[in-house]
Amino acid sequence: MKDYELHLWDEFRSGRLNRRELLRLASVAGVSLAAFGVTGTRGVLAQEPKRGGTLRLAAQYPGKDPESVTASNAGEVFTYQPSLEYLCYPREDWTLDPRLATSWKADPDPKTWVFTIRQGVKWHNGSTLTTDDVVATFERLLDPKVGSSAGSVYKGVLSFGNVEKVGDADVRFHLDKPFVDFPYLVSGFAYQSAILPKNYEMGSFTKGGIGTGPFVLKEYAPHQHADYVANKDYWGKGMPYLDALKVLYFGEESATVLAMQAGDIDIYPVVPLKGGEPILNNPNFKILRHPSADYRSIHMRVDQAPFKDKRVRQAVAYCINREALVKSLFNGAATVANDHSFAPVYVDTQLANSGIPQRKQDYEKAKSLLKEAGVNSVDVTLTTGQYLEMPQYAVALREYCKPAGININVNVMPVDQYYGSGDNQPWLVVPMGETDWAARGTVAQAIIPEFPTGALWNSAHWSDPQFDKLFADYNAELDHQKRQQLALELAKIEHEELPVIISYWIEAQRATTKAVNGFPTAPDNFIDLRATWLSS
Amino acid sequence: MGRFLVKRLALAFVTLFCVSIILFLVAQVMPGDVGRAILGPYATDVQVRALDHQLGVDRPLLERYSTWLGGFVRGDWGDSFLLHRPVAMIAFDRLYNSLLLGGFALLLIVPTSIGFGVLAALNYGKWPDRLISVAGLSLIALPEFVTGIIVLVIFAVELGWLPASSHVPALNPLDWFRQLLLPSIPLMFVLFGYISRMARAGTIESLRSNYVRTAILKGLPRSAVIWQHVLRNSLLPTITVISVQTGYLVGGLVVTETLFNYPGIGKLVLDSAVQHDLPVLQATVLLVAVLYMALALLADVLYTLLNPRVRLAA
Amino acid sequence: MSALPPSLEHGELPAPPPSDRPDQILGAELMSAASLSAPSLSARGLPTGRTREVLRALWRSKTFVIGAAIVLFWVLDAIFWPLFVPYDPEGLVSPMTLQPPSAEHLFGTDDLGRDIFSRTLAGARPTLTVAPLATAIGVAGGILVGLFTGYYRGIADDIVMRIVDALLAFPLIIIAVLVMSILGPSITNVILVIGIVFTPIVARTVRSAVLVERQREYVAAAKLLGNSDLYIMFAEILPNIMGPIAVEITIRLGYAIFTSATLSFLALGIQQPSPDWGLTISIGRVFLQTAPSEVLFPAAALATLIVGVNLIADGLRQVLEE
Repeated sequence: MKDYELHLWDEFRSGRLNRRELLRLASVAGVSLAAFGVTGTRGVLAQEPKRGGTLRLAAQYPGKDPESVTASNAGEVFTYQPSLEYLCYPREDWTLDPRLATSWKADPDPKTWVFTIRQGVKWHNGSTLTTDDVVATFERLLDPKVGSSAGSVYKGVLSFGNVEKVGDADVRFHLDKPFVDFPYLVSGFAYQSAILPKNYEMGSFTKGGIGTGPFVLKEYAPHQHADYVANKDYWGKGMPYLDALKVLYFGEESATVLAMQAGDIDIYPVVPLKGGEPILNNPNFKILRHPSADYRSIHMRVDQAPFKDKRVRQAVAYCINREALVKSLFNGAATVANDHSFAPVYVDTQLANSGIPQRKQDYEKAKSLLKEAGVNSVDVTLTTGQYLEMPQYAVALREYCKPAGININVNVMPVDQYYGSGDNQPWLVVPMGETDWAARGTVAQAIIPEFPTGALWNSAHWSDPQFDKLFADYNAELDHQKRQQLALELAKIEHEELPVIISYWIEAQRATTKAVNGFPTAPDNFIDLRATWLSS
Repeated sequence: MGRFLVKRLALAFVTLFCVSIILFLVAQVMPGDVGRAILGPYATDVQVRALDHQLGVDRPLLERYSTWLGGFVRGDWGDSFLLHRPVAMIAFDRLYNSLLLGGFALLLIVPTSIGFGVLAALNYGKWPDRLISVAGLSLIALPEFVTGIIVLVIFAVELGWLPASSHVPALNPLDWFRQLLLPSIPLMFVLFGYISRMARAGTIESLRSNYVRTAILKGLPRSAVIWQHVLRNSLLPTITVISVQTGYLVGGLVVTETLFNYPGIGKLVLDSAVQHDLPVLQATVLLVAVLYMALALLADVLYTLLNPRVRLAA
Repeated sequence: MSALPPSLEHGELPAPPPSDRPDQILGAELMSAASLSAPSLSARGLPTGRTREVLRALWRSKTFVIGAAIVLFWVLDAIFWPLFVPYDPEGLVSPMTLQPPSAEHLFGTDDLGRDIFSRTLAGARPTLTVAPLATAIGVAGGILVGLFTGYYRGIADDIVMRIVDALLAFPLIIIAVLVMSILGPSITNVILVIGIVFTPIVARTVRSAVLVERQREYVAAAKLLGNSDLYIMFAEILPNIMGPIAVEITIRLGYAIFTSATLSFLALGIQQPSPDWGLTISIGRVFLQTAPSEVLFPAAALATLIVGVNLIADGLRQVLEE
């Protein structure tokens, strides 16, 4: 890896990488830049953390009994993340912090990765964390018989049977193909990859007492609350600072927003930008803002009428007034996107964002595209879930499309029904659907589930061999400049072929009371409470 | 009295039997394909058949009905699809929470409404009477979700006196007020209108009755007459109203528990309906019906005990 | 038998337990309304005179007139709103969301920049479509069931009454939630559910009235003249019990409005992007503190409509009792 370190250093010195990107790339590769005198910025603690207290965190209803292996919604993730830990975990700047792994490296190339496991970590029941536990965790996620929701994360990257224990200290991952960003796939960004004991019995997490994390689950009352106490034997020095934690479940966002305003909640981890205004505009709360890459994809099934012809798909995209959407839905807390996955917040995306003209509302263009496609009017149902600003976006889209002769009928389902489970996932079937996607650690991780041929969550049923090939090249490419170029080409294909419309990148906004300290601003959608404390 | 009770009980059981049939028809026959109803239109046929089999809905109707009802009677209500817990456990847990909430609301509102009703009757046609009537009527006209939202925003959000999401209270009266006062206000508003109106009507009627006139003529102090005769007689129709309102109360719980995120049975009905958790939904609705009928029966018995005509005849 | 509460002698439960709100109190009063209206109806030919008398009394009743005016306003609005709303109620007409009332937007704008004034006016239509249709279904069904069971009595009556009791054992909202979750939320389903739930409630009222009427001389006379049962039920008895039925219709109407709004609020009724009041209140509730327009105006509209219907019911009852 010496070469890679030098490559990064060269890129940095030549000004093609900024410091933030340099640190992030180095942390992913598991290399240290200490030799060059560069170390990560450590937040200086303004105050000595105060110990004690119970923190109340809001979560939406878990769709089912929470468990990392099968998790698919935020309520489930927020329930197990206080107790379970990952090999590594994203920091606020999206660099990776070693957690249950102390170090990792690509050895000899990005097709094989070796993680060294932290020694002496205790499970909540007192036994010691071993490499067997780590191997068993990943085999469980990858075993097709188990039916883990992590399939979408590892498909085409890591296969069942390819995680190997190397003595008591190391675990080796043999990937299907080279993948530079692999450490992100065993971090919190792959939220299913939390480490569980070797003998973990599926469905038993909610019985409590399972995990290595800072908080021990004591009681889980479905649709009501989950109670935790601090793990006295936690390996992180001095942590956690809180005595106890309470996760409160809410059936709907409105109730959560009102409860936060009334002071029933300390942390609201993901405040909906639409409907959350009363909190976001309230000076009594700390609002943690961070640029992010959360987005909504409007997928259009390319294998079915009316969206078989890409010109019809493009016509829809030309109806949208993105500037107005960003303003009315988010009051500006979002940026306009250009129908491809390469959000500016990810590294190596400058070229992809500067190299393609921004698509804007253009009804003439939309109408002529429809005419070229030989279509007079389009009638289609847009299905989405009752979650965050999705219904409002759907309604707005309907209004935007009317003048072009595209008639959209909006169908809003309860969100858990819209996503469903197993083979019954309406969002993967409907001709046109709106789906909320959380930001990932890297572009590649965001693309894997949604865009490649046969991807598990390829709701547009899109397939483009050229895209697939370039994407494989991209994942194997270590050279920073070449990656930028590949990114541009991939973005162009997404933008032109338009399996999904991506109108905006949403800023992460989370809210806490003034008493909450040490709660990371980012990444949103995940919670890391080990360094959180309450001032009186 | 005994014969009356037996007859009422028998009737109640016949009705309950009909209730169970109707519920079974609605939940299991009306959707046509139960598996499809639960999984939705996008599930594959294989999945639907598998679920149908798991639920046993591929068996003959009569057999399914008897199994379900038998299970219900024995307390074996099956498991929740989503929560992976026995339905009976969840349902009784939630029922207890709702009884706390409903009981709290009744405890506060019944004496208050009766008091105001009697006050209105004593001031028949004067301004307190008018005021109470108008207040009662306007409170009835506001749906619970409107009053609920308004009190929530004023007392929880704006003033911050009480929580916006209510938990099951601890066993101390202060916490009862803290957790249950706000969610019970929408219930109380509506009940107030009905109960006070009924108490007023009952009081007016008994004030006009001969025995009260006689009692006053005999020189008994007015307050004593009111306490002894008027109040007891006006209580009679009020009890009827309260028993009948319990049905409404359960309906109101759906709204207020949802609004205040309170884990009661009304919210359980709504959640399981929205999430198509059929075992929970079916059992919970039947439980509500049983409860409702039991309360109606209790009210009948109370009515009979308190009604002088009936007592004298017995 | 004398030990039983008097009502049980007619095979009635002492406390008729209808499952929802207004009829509890009113239920008891209705029975007296049925008997009160009877004397003038005992001779044939009089009903028209009586009707005119009632109409004149209604016109003099302040309660009724105010109620009717309010309801008339909303009915006209529900029909003609497209003629006078300033904006498309579903259109995103302003980039400024959650604005307070202004000259441009009389009631302000909602969270998507839609005009609340237009939406409030347009919101009368879904409500006033659902409620009358649901009531019509319930009343038609209830009259049929009530007439037949009350007139024939016997085992069929017993059985039907047990079924009615059973239906009444489900609180209205609970059964509506159950059925809507199975059938799926749509405006047609809301109408059907409310209509079907109303049927037994109306049937009970009609049946009690029929039980009184069938004892009367004119019914016996009609029988002696050899008129068919159907003729007696629909041509003789029905016109004579129109009083309590009219009251029942207005009460049901109030209930239907109430229930439909509640279902919308619970997201089980009318769906987005309809300007339906219950739905709008549900969405707007988080803004109540900062931008109250989105909740307050539809709530006021809903409340006035319910008050209007209730006033009509009250006025009607007072007049019929006189």
